[in-house]
Amino acid sequence: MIRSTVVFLMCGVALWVLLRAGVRREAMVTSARMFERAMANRTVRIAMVVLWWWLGWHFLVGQTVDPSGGF
Amino acid sequence: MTSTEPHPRRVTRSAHDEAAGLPARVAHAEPAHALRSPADARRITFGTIAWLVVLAAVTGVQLSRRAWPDSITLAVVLGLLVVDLTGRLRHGSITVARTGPAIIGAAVLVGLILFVAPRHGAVAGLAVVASGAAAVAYSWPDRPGDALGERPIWDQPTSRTAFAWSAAWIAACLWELAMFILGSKETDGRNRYPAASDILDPVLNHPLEKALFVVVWLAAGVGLLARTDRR
Repeated sequence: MIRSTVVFLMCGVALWVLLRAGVRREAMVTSARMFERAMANRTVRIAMVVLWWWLGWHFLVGQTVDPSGGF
Repeated sequence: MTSTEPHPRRVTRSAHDEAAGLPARVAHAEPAHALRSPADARRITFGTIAWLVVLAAVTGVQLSRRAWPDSITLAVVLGLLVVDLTGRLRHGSITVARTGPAIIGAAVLVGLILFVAPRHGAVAGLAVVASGAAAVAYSWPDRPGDALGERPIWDQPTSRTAFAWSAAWIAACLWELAMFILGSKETDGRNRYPAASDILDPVLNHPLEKALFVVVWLAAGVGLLARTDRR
């Protein structure tokens, strides 16, 4: 349980540190600007919105866990 | 339709220029994925393919879990997006003005419903389905500003930012997939190899934690919709 939690947190922290350093050095743009630009394409826009929706569905409404396994 | 076509300098004239009687401007040479026409909104780029692959992968995992509503919904959207790339779907263009307060108001309402309604219940289901349907309907049409080149250019710093986001998500998703597969192989696998769902499921049974999740989820949705319109 702890191992998985640490891995997920590390991914988030690494992204935060990378973006912060990148924006400071002007090697990257802010996430808001990147999303703003990426969402000009309908396929990307709809895919992002649907995956966002699915996360809410998965954790709040649908079958969140598979006690008997999965596959 | 492809990202290998040449990119001639294009003459552009924004609505502001036209109103001000200014002459048309010659745009700078742009990278392959800079959108500058309505048709470009559905052109096939690396990002388009990558997102279709992501959607297909999530659909596949949900199919393997026999989560039928999830997999059917995701497969239908995937199919629609593929058909849309062929240009067979009508999509139109809408001008959106001052929808922010309405979107935030709707998000607050959905948040209150989800906070009160029990998880996995019909009321929560209706609220989440309505949110998704409204968000997709809002996001589907192109915005006139896209054709006028009002979006920022996709340059090297933007690519690096996208790469950083992709790397973090791919790492997390590969770990998630590994935990899901390993956890499915053993009797006590779900405890020995917990995926994000196994970790969050018991946490979300507590009202405060569920409320926090709902707030974060809705804020992310409002943020995505705001990026749909912002220039």
